[in-house]
Amino acid sequence: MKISEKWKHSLTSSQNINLIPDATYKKLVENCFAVLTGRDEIHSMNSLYSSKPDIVKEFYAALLSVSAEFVRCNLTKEEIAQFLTSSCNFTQPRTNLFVEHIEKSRIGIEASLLNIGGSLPHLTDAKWKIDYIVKSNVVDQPEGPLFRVSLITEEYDAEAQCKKLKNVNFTCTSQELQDLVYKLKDAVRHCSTLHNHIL
Amino acid sequence: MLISLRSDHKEHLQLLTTQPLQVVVDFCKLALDFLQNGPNLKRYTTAAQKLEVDVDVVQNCVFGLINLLILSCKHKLSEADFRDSVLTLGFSQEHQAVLSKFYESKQNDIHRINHICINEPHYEDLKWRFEVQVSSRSLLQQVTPLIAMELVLKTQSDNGTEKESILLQTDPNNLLHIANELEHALSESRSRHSRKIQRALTH
Amino acid sequence: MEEVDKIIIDSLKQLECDISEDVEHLKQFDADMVVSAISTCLEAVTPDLNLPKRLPPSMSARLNIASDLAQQIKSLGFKGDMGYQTILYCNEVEVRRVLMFLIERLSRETIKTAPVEQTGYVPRLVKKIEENVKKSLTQTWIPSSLIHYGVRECDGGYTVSSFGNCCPLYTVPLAIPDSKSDDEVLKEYWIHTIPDVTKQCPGRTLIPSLLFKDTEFTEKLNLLDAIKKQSEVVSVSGIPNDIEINILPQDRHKELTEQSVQKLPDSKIDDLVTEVETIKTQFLSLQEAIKNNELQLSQIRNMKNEEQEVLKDTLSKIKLKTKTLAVINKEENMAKLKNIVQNASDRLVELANQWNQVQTPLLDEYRSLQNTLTSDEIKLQEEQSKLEDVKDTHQKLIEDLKEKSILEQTLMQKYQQMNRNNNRSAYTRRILEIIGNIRKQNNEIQKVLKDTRETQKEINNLTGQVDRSFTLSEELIFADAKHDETARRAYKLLASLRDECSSILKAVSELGLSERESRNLQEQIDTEKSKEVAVKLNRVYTDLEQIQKETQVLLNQT
Repeated sequence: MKISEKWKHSLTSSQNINLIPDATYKKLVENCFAVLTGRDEIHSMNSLYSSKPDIVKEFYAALLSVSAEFVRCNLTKEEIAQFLTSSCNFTQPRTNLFVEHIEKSRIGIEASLLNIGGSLPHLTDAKWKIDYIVKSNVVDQPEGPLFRVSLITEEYDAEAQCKKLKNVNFTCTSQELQDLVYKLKDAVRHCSTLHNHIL
Repeated sequence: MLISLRSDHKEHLQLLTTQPLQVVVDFCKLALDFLQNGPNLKRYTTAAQKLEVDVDVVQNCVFGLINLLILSCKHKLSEADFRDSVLTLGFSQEHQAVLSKFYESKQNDIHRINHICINEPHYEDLKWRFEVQVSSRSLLQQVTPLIAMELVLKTQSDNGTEKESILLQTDPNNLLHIANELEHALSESRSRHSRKIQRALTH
Repeated sequence: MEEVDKIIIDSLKQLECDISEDVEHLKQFDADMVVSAISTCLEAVTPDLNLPKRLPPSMSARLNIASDLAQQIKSLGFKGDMGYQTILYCNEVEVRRVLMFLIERLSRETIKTAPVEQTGYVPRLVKKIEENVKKSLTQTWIPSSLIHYGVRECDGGYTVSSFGNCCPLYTVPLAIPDSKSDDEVLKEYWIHTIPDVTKQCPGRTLIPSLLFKDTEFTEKLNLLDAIKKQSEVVSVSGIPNDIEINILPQDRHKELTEQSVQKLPDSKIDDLVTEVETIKTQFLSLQEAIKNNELQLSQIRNMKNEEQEVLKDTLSKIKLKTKTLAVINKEENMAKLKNIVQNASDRLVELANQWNQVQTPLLDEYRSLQNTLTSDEIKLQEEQSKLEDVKDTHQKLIEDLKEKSILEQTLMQKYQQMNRNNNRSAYTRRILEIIGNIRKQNNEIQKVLKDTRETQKEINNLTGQVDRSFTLSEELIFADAKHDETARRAYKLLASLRDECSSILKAVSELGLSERESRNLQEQIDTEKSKEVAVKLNRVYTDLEQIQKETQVLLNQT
């Protein structure tokens, strides 16, 4: 793990109670983890500035990036506490508060971090219906069953800045669907044999 | 069931009923050539010269033959039905034997050609591989099982078949759900209810 | 079904479940037996469970136990309908399904060896993969729109169920105050203008921008320093040193002239300037001359030193030579010297002879000794290699022995395990029997199918014929009808005949359909009958009464 000296300095210098009182610290930590887990800030930042807005801004930025870095490198509780007390001169209560919060929202932050990076469209659901062709212009006899399958995929839409559903539609005859189901089941079977020590 | 032809269609076919067996065989060949390569006026003129009739008559006769085949396929005539239909048109037993054979051999091809009319993507193939994402730039230690898939869809159109492959991924949980869902669809199509519908439609 | 029953009962007996010898079908199972069978199976599947093997007499306790067991079975993943009623009011089919499920579980569970706690990156990773796949597969499916960020929490970990929200990594430069800086203007900007980091970029790019500095190439200060350094180096190497010397005298001249500048007119100044210029050039040339001369001087000095050294050497040599010359010039001295030389050479020869005499035998001895030594050494080496060989084979034999003994142990263990389920052959025999039966049934089915197909064909042929004959006769009569009155009547009759016939055909086919339906219904009735609802209802009633009695007793007690 590499935490830049700048962040360390920001964290260390803000330990002065006159610059950032304990109440402000608590609110900043709460805001920090709310942002990192993708929620809105709980407390209005304007109310936290007091007399030293630049110090608060700097400390907030440092807090955010250091927390993200801790989770990114999968540091344990003890390692985090060790780092904060020895490298950044955090007091014991402040360290405890931070560690308690980071443990509570660790999975949320991991989720945020997991969702950074490119990926293929993700398949999440399937819809189907069965059609019977009663008559068509070329064949008088009924035909069927025909399966109209719609696979629902999710993909990130950069313009709308949220996920977008896209359907992959196709038609199957009985044999074709049988083939598809067989292949999917094969994949499932492979996954389920994994936890019987096949790997 | 017996198919009934329009009177002009019947007229076009009348030419063959009076011809010897060999001529019928030759006309079947002409029709086959039409199916594979489209109309061929040169061959029709030579045939017309041989039979001492107009080219139009020969051409109409070939077209009539093709139309007969298409109609028969449209109604999915059985062998016996086809035989009776041909006999009612005034063909002799020998002629009927030749035509029946022709119908039998070309039935599948014509069905295939007919099906092209509906252009919708069809499932063709699915390839998958199991992978585990163990690290990414923003999360150094993780274990995320994923299944990457390539779905190949086939669309038939006038200029051949087009294949389109789509890359997808999913996780075991969703994979299981989708497999179950599609299997359910398959079993639903074999249920008593579905079979009843099928039976009702065919009668 | 008999074979399945046998297999189930066999496996139950193996689990030391007390089933009397004369029980051969699941039909013979009563509620008590079902409970004991299910609880032994459950105990075998999850070892640390302790379940009652017998039903207590009290009705409510029975109910509790039965619903407990049902809950356990459901938690193992049983998909069918399962409740206390399945156990207490057992029906053959359901009991068979439950027991089959449990026994399948059983074989899978017993295969599993105790997981060995492994360390190291790869084994831990493999274990984690197994865990995550299992978690992901056993979770119930939820539509992904209900899942925040596609990540689901579950017992201490998480599973990923969609990457649909995965935003490409993109960073923007963030402006962050720096308390180390002393720049007042920047501070003003930081205090009043700059927004929080969280408001400087869209939400999804905040974390990447904080973590990675893709858009900042190096720190700006360093870049400036680097440029400064670069320019310094250029100036140092590019401008020759003597310019500074040149500048100093010039400055001095300027100072001198400045004092007198105001007094002198312009022409004089010009003159003076040119004079200064000439003097300066003179000065420069003189300086150059001095330098040259100094260089020459030092060179000359060096040359002088070298010459002196040479002189000293030659002088000492001359001294030595004159001395020897003086000694050699006398005759006696010469003879003496010659004698001494002669003696010395004689002595040398003598000594050489003596040395030879002494040396040869010693050398011989030395050689022979060396020979023996080498032969000894060779022998020794051979012996040693033999010894090593023997040692190796010894080691190998010991290892072999160890491996074999371990193998023996494992085989023994396996053998003992095999003993427990050596009914494999029985299973295969049964399977073969089943296959034979199925084949027979299949043949029969094929026969029936063939029959029906033939009938179907006949029916089709007949209907076809009917159709065709109607159309033919219709055409014939229709042609005549234009001219003939009777033919016209005949045509009408034909039409009515056709209608009648088709209605008869329809009636026949409907009859067939309804027959089929009635058969279906009959089957359904049979299956319903086989469930023995009436008997079970009676039992439920009696049980209910008992419970009411029990509650009554309890109420009375209180």
